[in-house]
Amino acid sequence: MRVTRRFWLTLVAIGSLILGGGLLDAPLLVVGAAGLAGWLLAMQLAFVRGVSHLRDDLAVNQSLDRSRVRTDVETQYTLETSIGTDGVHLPASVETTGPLAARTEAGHPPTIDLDTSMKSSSVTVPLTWETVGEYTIPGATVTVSDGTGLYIQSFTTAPGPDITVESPSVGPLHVGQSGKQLLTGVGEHDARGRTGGLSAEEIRKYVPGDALKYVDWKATARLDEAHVRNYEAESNRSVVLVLDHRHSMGDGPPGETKLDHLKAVAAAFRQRAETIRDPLGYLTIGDAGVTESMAPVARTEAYQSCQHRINDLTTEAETPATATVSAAQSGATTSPVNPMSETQSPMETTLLAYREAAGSKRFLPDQPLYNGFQTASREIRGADLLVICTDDSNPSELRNTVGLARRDATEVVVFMTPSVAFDEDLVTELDTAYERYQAFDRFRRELNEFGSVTAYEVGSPDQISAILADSPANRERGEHV
Amino acid sequence: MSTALGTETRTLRSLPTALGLLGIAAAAVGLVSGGPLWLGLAGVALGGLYLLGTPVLAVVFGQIALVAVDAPSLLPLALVEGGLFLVLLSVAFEAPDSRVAGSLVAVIVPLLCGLAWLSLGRWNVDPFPVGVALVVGTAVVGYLCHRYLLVELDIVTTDSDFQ
Repeated sequence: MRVTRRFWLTLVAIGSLILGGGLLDAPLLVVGAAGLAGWLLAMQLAFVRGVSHLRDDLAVNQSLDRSRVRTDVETQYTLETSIGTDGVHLPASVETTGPLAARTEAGHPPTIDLDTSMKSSSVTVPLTWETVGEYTIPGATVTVSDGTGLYIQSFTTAPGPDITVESPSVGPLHVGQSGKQLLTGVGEHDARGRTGGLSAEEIRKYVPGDALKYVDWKATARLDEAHVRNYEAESNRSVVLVLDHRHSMGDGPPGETKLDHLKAVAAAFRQRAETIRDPLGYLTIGDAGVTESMAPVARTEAYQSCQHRINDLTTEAETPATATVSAAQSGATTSPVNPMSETQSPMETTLLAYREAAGSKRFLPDQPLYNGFQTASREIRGADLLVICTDDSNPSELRNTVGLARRDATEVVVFMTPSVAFDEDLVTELDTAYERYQAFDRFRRELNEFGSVTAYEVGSPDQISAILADSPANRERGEHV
Repeated sequence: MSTALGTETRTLRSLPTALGLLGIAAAAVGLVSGGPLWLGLAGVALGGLYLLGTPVLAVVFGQIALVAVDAPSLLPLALVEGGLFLVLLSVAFEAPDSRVAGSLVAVIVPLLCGLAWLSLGRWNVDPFPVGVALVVGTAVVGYLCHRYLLVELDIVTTDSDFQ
């Protein structure tokens, strides 16, 4: 309970009367002080009773028109209050403070003032969510004052609804091989690995992208159609997302760039990993090399960190996390710059010289993806599942990277965006588009032929369909019709 | 916060009521009848303070004016004290839960005033100790009410109070 200035003024008056009564030996002043003190106490008791009753009778309801929303999208937030009693009540004001991630158009939180005779009131305001995450609307603060302005009391109601704010995503996503949409969910991965056992889960129809080793030949013979056996992992396996966010990943219309498509794929893997508590890590590569990395761990903070990193990825230049000497500049085999080189002891210098002479790391010019992956920690390179998200702008670099990745990782999955599907002049150059797509698909199949490597194409279904529609087979069919 | 301040500002001035005006009139009559004529001016000031929306100051002023009356007889004393009591009662009746507030004022104010009167008049205790005892006693009860409300509203729990 807070007291107001009026209360303190009354208290000063009481004190003055007592002091005056004592000094002047005037008992009547003390009697007056007793009357005023009794009045203050009586008003306080009445206020306590009023607040207690109001709290029982007051219903505050907070609601949102949806429970899942994307960033920068408006939601309607409604604050309703009602008092389930007849007669007058203490004047109250109900104020809510939304989460920091949300902002209102007016700039101040919604408030309802309930006068002594008001029974119900509501207010609806648009809230715009700015940051990805899961939020709970905090409880509303009810501030009650007594009618004479002596006392104020605030209390908080129960928390409001939960809301999940997601990053804006691209439209429909095509993930597949040779123009055929992959039917299994993105992010789901099979259970090959070095640790833990496998248990057969179910038999299902074969879909493009399934490895031949999982074909259940008995079921295929029995059902006269290719079937595979699904396995479920009995232990957690580490997943590392290698995300390329170099300049070329910005191709495509705003909001539907190569990077936006691959971010959706990466987000699906992250979500899947969090669901089954797989250790998750990431490695992001920019134009200057590695921009950020995290070794795989199965902690809630790690999943959130990964999601934030995915959301924040842009194709703008970032400061590399580990400075590596640009092979393009030196034009020769180089090694990472050791920031401690100036403080190295003679012993360290000698040992490092031996290591470099042994050629433990070989950096290639103009291949930041390859060089960055090479400098990654052993936990990242040795993940059970390595997911590489990039494009086809530098096939030789990707070939080298995949070759390097499969040495340590148990399984490598490559998601590639065909550059042809993100060209702005796709319509005018449709004649050559199919040929370029064929070259891309040949490269994808080449990667797919590597052991323990699976390569997929990622793009907009409309663009892929438009390119495939111009294939010779389709053209012939069109001519016959 | 802004709402709370707004409420405070709105209720800082108490509106005059018939009961309050009756109390002021009674007190003014008591002052004029029990003392010298110039106390009529005190009665006017009393009314002015009440009409200005400061009934507490009016009560304090009335009590001080009563001291100026040399050995007031019972009737003027009863008129002034009764009138000032009505002023306090009228403020309580302005509160939203007027019946409860009025009842509490009607019980507690005479109780404390009577206790003070007995202590001073019958038991011959000095005014200052009586006043201090009254203020301390009232403050203790007020603090207990405050803590009760915090527990009632689940702002503090009974266990955490004593940790």
